[in-house]
Amino acid sequence: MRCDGVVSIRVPASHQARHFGRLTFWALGATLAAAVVHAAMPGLGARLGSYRSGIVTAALFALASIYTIRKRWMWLTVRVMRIAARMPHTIAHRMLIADRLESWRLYHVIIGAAVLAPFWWHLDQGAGASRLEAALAAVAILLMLSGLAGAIIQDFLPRAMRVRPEQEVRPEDVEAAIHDVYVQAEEAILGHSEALVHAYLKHVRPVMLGARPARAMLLATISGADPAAPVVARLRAHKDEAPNEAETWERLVLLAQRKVRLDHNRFNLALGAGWMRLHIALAIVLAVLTAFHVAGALYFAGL
Amino acid sequence: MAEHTNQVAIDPAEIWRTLRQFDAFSTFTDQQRESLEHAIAHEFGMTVRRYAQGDYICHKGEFELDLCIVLSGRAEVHDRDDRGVEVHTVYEAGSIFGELGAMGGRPRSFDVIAAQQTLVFHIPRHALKHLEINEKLRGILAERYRERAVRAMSARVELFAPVPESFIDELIPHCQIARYDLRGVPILEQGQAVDGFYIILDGFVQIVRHRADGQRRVLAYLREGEYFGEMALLGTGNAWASVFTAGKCELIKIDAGEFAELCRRYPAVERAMREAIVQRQHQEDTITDELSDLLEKSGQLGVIQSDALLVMDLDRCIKCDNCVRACESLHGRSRLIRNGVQIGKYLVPSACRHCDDPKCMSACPTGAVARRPEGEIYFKYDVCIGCGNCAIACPFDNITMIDTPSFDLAQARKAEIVGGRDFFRPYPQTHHDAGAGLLARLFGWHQEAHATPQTHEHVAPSYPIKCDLCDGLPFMGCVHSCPTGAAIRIEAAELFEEIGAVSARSHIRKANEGK
Ligand code: SF4
Ligand code: SF4
Repeated sequence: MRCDGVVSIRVPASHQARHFGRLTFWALGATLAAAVVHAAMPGLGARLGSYRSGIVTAALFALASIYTIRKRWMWLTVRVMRIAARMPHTIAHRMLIADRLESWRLYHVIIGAAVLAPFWWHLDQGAGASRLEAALAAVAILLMLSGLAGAIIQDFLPRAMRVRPEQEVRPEDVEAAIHDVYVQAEEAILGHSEALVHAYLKHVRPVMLGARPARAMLLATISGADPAAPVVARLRAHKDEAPNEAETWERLVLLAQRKVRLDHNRFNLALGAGWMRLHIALAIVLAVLTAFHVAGALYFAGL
Repeated sequence: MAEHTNQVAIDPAEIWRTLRQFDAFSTFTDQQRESLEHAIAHEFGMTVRRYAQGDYICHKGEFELDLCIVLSGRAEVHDRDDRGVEVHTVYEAGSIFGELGAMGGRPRSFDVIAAQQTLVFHIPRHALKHLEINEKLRGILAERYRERAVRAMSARVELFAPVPESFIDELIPHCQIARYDLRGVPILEQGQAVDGFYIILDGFVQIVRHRADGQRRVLAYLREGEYFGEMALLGTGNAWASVFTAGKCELIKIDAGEFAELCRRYPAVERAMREAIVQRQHQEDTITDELSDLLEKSGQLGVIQSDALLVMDLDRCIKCDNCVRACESLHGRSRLIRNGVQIGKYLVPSACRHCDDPKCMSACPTGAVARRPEGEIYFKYDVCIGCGNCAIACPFDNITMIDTPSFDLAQARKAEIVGGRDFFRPYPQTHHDAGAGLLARLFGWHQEAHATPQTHEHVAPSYPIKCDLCDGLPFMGCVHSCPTGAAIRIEAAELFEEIGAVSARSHIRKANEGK
């Protein structure tokens, strides 16, 4: 799918609000608030004690994880809606809005960031932590950091992708388009001079079959630069290797350009999905370590 | 296939003996009679139904697309029309009603209620041809349709709001109905003489202006209830812009001379038209080349004609596929493919658009594709024979035929989730589980016990599925489960709200969820 220009059309007012950075704003805001609360109440950790601060921390993590369940299973929503159906219309409507996954994502981010305060108090109590507890703390911090990174990615990546010329939205469509470009390039050289075929095999085909380094792709995403630009410049410099074939060579260059842009499209799709996989993996490790930590704490408490 | 509970088994010959007493059937030849009797015996949906006193024969606002002929008894309408005029009509034996639905695919204008025990012969839209083989009956139906359509439409045309009912009475004899089946058919050509004033009865037309520099600009799409030809009528007599059909459409054409004469006698109409002219000319300055291209493309892709278009804002979409998963989770099979055409920053994925002119509905031989008053297109599975015509006819490939066992499982899944056909309709009242305990009512446990795979009396090898806007639920799964708010259901007009290129007529209630 190729971009067909940016045209000023619009959808309902409810949908027009500026949203770039909204999630990042809430994530940073909630983190800051948690830090301020922690700084403002230094004694609270001691008053709560390690058990209670631990319980609050675990409870908040558990609360944040409901989002994952809601996201994958409509069961919860249908139950909420059944309750809503018995309420007056205005309340029912609010429940409906509150149950939208968009709202759940916001709760998830805010709770996930706010957990910092009790977590910090809990850490304050934990003098002489074991290796398990050190690992648990590290994973919890990594989880929060990955969440923050995710908020930034989810806020800014869609638009960064949308302003690109290649805008496939599913990995399978990118693969199909890449295959299509490759076939076009192979067909373009049929019946042409040996010099062109050699130049193609030497310079263009590696682009067609190869992958760009992830770092270059990431930089292109962040800077907004076209990752195909250096490739195109390099290929154009080899134009003379196929004398009298300028037109076909230019066509091959453009196909290579499209291939690199599709690679970038694929990278961006993978970035969105890959971050999520990392976040989920960290959450699972955290849950397992927490289980050991809690079991250990109960054991040492003699329960 | 399910039969109507009030259906009466009557021999076709006996139905004919009743029909032939009515004037409309007086000129049927033997051959036409035989053909009609054969159709009654074999055509799906041609039924006689018995209504007790007080029973509803037609429901106002419903898309019940069959013609009704009263065989015996009496039915009545007590209502006010759209203009607020009191309507009291009595239908005796031999009366025909329901032309707007059967011939024009429009919803019922009134509730029709049996005043005593009444037998009504129902002829579905697809079987009308068996009546129209007779010239006299065809003429009667066309005449009644013309009159009803003009009356119903004139009540909705803003232009006629300030005029008295007598204006409409005078207008009707000068109206003709014009039908077009294809897109791109020229109705008016810029600069050419115009011989009529047009009101759109159904469908869309495209307004195109060829500029002095040779550029072709699409200025707008006009839809049902809007009109064109007024500039020529009040100006030079020549068309200011070209007008093309934007798909199947139906127009009321009023003779230019007669309409100009009527306007002279009712100056309020002329004043309203002059205001509209200023607005339309202003539109030419608003539309840039880019917007014109976008409008053209949207018309070609059928986006303009969509009543409930699922779009994904690519500035927000994180490509998580949750919308697809939610659909699958609710319906057992996803009815949404997250790929399709792109209009500006919006992706229009493959999901039913609930078209203004649904090709699937026209292609169904049994009337199993129906429309709700809110505009949703849905399947009546009890009358579906699984022929797959709808899937072939949908220009956007939005219908999938799935094998019967998978279909039954998917239906059971939906029943389990929704917990009863009308669980949330009308939202939010429900009465069906009033007898259950508090916890069961809150959590709907008892409903799941009823969720068994659907069994069909008539078993087709496959059944069609498509998006039904999560019929029975107060939300649309895809929209409700999008974590970023990228997925929205809108009426096409809302995309072009700012430039006023398509007027809005949003009637899909759930489309406004979250506003
Ligand atoms: S199934 Fe196809 S033709 Fe029918 S309403 Fe949906 S999009 Fe239109
Ligand atoms: S759920 Fe929303 S964000 Fe995710 S793929 Fe669908 S439209 Fe895009």
